[in-house]
Amino acid sequence: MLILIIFFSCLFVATLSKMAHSGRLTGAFVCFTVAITLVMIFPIYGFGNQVEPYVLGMPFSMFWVVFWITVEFFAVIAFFLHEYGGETSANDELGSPSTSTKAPPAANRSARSGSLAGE
Amino acid sequence: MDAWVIAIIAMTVYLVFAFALGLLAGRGRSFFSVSEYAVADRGLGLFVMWFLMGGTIFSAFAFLGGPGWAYSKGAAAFYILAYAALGLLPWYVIGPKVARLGAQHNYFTMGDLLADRYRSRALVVIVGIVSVLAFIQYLTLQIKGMAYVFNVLTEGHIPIWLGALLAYGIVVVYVITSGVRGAAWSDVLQAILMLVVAWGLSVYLVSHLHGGIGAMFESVARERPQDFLVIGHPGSAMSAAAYSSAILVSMVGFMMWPHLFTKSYTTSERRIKLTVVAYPLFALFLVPVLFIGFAAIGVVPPDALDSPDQVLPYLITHELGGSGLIYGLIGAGALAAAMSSADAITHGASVSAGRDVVAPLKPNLTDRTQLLIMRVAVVLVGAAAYYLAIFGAQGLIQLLLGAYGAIVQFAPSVYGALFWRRGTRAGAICGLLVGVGVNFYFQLIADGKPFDLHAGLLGLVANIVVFVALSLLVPPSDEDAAHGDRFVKS
Repeated sequence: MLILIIFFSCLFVATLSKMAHSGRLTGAFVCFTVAITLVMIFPIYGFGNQVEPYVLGMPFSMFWVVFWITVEFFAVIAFFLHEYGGETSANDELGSPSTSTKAPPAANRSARSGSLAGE
Repeated sequence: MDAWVIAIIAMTVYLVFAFALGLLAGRGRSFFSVSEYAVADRGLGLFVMWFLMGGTIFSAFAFLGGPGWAYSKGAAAFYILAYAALGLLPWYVIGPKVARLGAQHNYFTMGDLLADRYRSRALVVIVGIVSVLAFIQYLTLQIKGMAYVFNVLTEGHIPIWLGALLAYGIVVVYVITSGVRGAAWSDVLQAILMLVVAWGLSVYLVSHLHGGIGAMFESVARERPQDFLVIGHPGSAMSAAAYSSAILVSMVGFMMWPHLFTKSYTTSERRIKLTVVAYPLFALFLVPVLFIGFAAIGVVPPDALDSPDQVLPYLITHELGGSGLIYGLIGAGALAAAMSSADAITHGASVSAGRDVVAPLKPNLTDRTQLLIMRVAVVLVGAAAYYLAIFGAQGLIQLLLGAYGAIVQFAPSVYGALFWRRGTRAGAICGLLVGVGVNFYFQLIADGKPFDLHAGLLGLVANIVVFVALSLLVPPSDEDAAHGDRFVKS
């Protein structure tokens, strides 16, 4: 059971990272959101929906939820770093183009940086 | 000095602080600018942003309702963790897009976006009215929480009506004067305070009453029936379908709350994404809050409580000794939880009322008049919620779930506006009306729900079907399609 879960998780992460690298970042994020939602609800939550074993003192049904929230936390960090990795925050304040392939057209950017200029 | 007197002094000190901070936040900013009042001139920093969004979820619902659910319903309480963790994820995708459109076209509310995209005033007014009603329900919940905390921790010396009036009156004043910035800065203070209090309380209660988390859950397993810590078994509090659909509705609905959606306009794309990144932490912060409820099992006799929401105040008054200072500190934490949600909701409701309900019905308002209407709306909405909280009655959580059901119905129109060029005005309006109608039917009128699904989800399905079918049956004119295209591409 556990091995199956790990296997599918790895497969899923590999697919997401491939999507992200080929420029479909939003698509990858949507897939991730759907996946992390599905593990929280039935039928997939059914795997975690049992009292034993207790992990860190918590019943397994609770540990399952906490575990996936932790996974989610690190995953969104990964998404963010992938998108903004090489940038310093000073660049953002000035509204410089991001490394994201989904960067909006120049006109939008200048509108945004204009609104930030007053800070 | 009596414990309750010290408690009152401690809570008063907190209230004065929150009040001063809320007032100071708006100093040096234009008092007469709609943009400043509604979206802080689109310039909120990351730190403030994070607490503003976090404070909203750490509401009276989490502080009183969370332990109450854990105590009375067991595993069903994990729903709170799941939706707190999932709710903000869609913002990573839609937030930056909404922020760009907002800066380009000068939007302040969700209604502004929908009005521009679907070119319909009717739609905006419907959205505005549903929001304001939902806001009032949601506020009622927070006010009840504040009043309750005051009443219990002062051992009944401050009556319910006065406690609510004091705490909420302060919120109303700093929202009126400082707008979104007042709400944001006082949320920083409130979020930190309530986190410290919640964690301290949880660690103390778990170790004092049970000696550890493991021992606590073993005692829960002994005290309660077999199925208490799982979902969907014969003895569980919630069926699998009810649990899953509640999570789905809450998750999709979360960003549709106008006061959260509007925050897209208050900051930059990068900060929106960073806020989402840090957000799962808030869900983890809620774990100890649920522990408080589990710790009460076997300690608090069920017939000692009128409703499970009272489990936290009961523990404080019966298990922490008679120290007034601790009462006061915990009272301040609980007030902070309720007030940090109340200010954001009050602010959101006032902007919705001014911008989405009154402005479309009476075009050509000047900025000043609009702002005046918003500030008057703060008082009116506040008074309505106050009245409901003191004289109306319903369980805490049902109230929130009820409001959520109606709010989630905005989702098809909003996502349609951002991602589907073929969505039409007629589809959006009819879908919304059908969704709200179906939700209310199954929530309030019907005896049972099909498959035990959440009423909001049933409404949402009907809503999407009507929206898509109508949009496809009556295709938009070329001009409308080009107009929609602009939103999808931006």
